[in-house]
Amino acid sequence: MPEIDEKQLVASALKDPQAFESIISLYEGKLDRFLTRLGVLQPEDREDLLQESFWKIYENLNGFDPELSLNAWIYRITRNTVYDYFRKIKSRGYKVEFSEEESIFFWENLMDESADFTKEIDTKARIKVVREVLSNLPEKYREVLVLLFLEEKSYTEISDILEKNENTIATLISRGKSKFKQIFSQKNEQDLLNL
Amino acid sequence: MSKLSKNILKKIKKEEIAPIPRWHFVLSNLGIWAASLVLMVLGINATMLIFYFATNLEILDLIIEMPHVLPKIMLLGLPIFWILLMVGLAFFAGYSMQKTKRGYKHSFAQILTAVILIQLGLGGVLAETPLAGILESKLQNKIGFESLEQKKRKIWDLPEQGLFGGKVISMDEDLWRIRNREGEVWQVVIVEETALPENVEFGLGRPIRIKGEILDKDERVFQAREIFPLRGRHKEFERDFRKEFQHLPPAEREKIREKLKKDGPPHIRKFLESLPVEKRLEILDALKNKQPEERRAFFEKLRPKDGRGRGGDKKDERRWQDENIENPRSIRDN
Repeated sequence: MPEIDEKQLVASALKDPQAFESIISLYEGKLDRFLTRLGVLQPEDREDLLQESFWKIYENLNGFDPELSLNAWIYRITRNTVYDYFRKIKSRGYKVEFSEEESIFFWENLMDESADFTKEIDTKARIKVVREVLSNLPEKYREVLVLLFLEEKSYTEISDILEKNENTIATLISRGKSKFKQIFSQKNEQDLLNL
Repeated sequence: MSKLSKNILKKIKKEEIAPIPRWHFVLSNLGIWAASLVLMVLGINATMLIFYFATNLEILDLIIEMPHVLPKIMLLGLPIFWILLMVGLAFFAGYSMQKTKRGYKHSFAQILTAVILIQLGLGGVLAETPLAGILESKLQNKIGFESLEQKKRKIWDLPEQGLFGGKVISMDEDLWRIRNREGEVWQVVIVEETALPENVEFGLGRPIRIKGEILDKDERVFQAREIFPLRGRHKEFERDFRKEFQHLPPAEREKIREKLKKDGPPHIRKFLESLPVEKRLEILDALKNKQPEERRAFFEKLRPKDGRGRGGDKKDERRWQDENIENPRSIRDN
């Protein structure tokens, strides 16, 4: 989205609350998917979190930094809202799960960057391993890998969303990929032996 | 319009939710910047004092010339509190800066390095200005603050390490008697190789520093390799000197009066000492023929402008009255 549109969107919403509807409709679907990928599986929870995120976005419209992309700013608020929620329900324990479709998408994007794995993921068993490994990755790595490979954000956008500098993001991504490959190889071997 | 949009807009309307005003965000970001700057300025002050102490105590020169004194010098001379404070303030300033709007774009290590470099750069430059001396004198007598003078006296009171300081109480050609800050009288042996700075007159009551070696600890004998005046403000020694002045035998007091008459107060002495002997005599001769007002105006011009001497005369006057000590300036004027 061109920068001028983003500024106009924010300016219109500040003038007239009804204009905020265009921001909601633009991001509703994207954020719903993002929430699932962050591990919010129940549709009711996602709806509540989306509402809360949009209220925060509306309340903080004056704090929008035009130097940032609106997309990164909205993702940042949503992500922070979700992690506040996770902290609250920590005792209940939440489980992150990825759909088959997302796992294949993640795998393909990851393989585009890696020469040491075969790109084909044709067996059900392999898809299951990818889903499991991705779901069980440490949070700090899963978060950056989801943003990079599923949300297809740039390093700069990830840096703006997570409020960490780009070098840290690059390190997290690199370590996350290594961790993923390491666990994947171990699990894959185990599963093949069990077949 | 989706169900979610309807719900949100309905709530905004019903509860009259309004965006937080812009000034709130501007103020909060400014507040963080202000806190960072205050921490930085405090850090620069701490760094300035570290440099001021290090240069005035000539720590580097001493370590290079006498490496064996390193542990003692580190312990006595390094302003540990100020170093810790500088590092602590740099950490807090760095942390605070990372909390600014775009602070996350740089790593903490980058910000901390920049803060420390700024502190070292500005602190180093400011240490060369009168500001450092002013701050040091303001902090004197504050709880836990060890002044430059106190540190200097501690460093120059290590005869076993070859560093000795005190004031001259008698001067024979090859043997001086020096009283250190504990009141112990030491015999200082002057040999042919003993280096004395040119154009400096050493006289009775003069605080001095000596580099050399201990010859006999029990008999308190020290051999001098180099002798220097105790540069900087030597108020402690001067105060001690004034107290002792009253108890000196009349002949000795007369001798000192003559000396003070000749040299004038410390800033005049300092100026005269900095001149070659011929120039000094020339000025003194010229002044003899001047009116008292002209002489005073000339000496007034020599008074240090860095604030160290400001108000000194009146303060000294009050102290001498309180302590019932004879004012050396009145001795001179008589």
